[in-house]
Amino acid sequence: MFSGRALLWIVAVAVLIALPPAVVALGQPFYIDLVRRIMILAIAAASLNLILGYGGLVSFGHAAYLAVGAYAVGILGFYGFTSGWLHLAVAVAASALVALAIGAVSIRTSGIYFIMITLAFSQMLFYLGISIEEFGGDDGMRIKTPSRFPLVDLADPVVFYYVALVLMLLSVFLVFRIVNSRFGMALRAAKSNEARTRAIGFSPYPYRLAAFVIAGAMCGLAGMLYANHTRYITPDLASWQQSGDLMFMVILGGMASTAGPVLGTFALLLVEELLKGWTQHWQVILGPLLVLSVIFFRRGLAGIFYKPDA
Amino acid sequence: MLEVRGLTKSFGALRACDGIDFDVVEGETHAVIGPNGAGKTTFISQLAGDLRPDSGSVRLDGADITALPAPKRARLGLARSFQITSVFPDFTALHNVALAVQARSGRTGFWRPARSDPALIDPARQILKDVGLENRINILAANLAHGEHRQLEVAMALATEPRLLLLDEPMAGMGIEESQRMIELLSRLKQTKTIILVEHDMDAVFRLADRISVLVYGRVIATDSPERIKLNEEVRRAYLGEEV
Repeated sequence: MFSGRALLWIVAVAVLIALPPAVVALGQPFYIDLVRRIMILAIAAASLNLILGYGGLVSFGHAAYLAVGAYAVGILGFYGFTSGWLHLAVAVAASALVALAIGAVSIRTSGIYFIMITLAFSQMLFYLGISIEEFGGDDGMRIKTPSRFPLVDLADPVVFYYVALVLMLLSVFLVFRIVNSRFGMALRAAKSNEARTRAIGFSPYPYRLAAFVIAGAMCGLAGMLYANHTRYITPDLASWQQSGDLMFMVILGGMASTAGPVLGTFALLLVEELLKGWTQHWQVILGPLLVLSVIFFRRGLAGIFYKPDA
Repeated sequence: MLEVRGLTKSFGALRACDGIDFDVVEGETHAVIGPNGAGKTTFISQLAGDLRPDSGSVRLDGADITALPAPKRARLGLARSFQITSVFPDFTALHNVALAVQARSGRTGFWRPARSDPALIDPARQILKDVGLENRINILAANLAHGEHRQLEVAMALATEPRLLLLDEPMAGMGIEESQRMIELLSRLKQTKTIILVEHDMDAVFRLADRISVLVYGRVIATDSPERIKLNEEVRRAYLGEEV
């Protein structure tokens, strides 16, 4: 079982490594851009999976951190700071802080209230972005120079592609280690049976809040990469549609599975791309497809490949 | 060891617990019996910290724990099992117990895999053996039989190394054979543990209890040895009826 799983990972990573030279040889370098975008959003989906899949926290505002990370790059660039390490540090720290503030309030609630509060906070950030004219308001802002790192040039599409690939794999691995650690077991226990968790001596709150902050920080990293990818950011990054997309990637791929968010992100965005090339009314087809996929793949796409962990 | 004074809890007009005084001495097995609706589960929930009393106090070893939430009480050594099965259905029996061991250890970590950690797994395996589930350790809790769930509940309570074990109807819904096994398990446990046992099964209560408190309409009407409780007129009238 394990070797089968490992084999799938090896094949998938090998394909992703081989993709840039292959598509260049085929004269379709556009695909480097597409897959890079998918991999960056897969980081965001992996971070959401930590709290949604493993923690049972249905955050409907996860895109907020994507926007915080992206605007960290935009605003620092606006004031002339181009150091990549600074961008990275500020994007991650700011998202973690925002997640701490949102989590501290919202995790005291549960169920529909939790969903609504996380949604409300992300909408607040969305309208904040629209209202600050200096940073472009709802027109958004252009990223004039990418985050500058020594030795690694994010302006080079292929280099950036491999950076995104490595960071995506690292993110997935990080979530994998966290959810199987003692911390992760307590987090999953609180999702499985909260009363029982409390009865054996765990307070779920600090575990959930810590997971919420880690997920926010990781999504902030995705936002920082996303800003470098599109070179143009708008408050739409924090919109509820974006949050819904992230949730869908996780659910489609398979909640509480290691590979799920990656599979879900690839599946959703590739199908979307395919349909867009086909017809202008691609959403009419995508919608029913998503409904069908949820009905037929209860445990998501990852459920096709292996059984859920105990 | 445990001192309860004047514990009162109302739900609207209903007084589920009406000034309960209750003591547990170290080492004893103290059974709480009473007809349905007498307030037994409400009482236990207040001892475990899942419900906050309207008035009255709960002291553990002299320290006032009336306002402490359940997780803190658990860490002080007060472990409970639930009347209605409450386990982690999507974890194996072994990892259910390992979680309780982890809660007791108070240590956490973000990196090392917990499911292969001998500091958690070895004690969990031993406890499952103690309660007679050694052949079921890798079964998902959702797939265990009812009686096995009850055993698992006790195992999880034990794994927190409690000083005081609160068992809320451990025999509920069990067949005769399962009940006998549970009684044997509890009679072994009572050698070393202090236990509060809420139970309907009179056979079990009279075999296990050192003292019995009878709860009727939210009041303790008698606390005495099993022999004297059997003879107590008021208790007979209120509760035991033809059963004795």
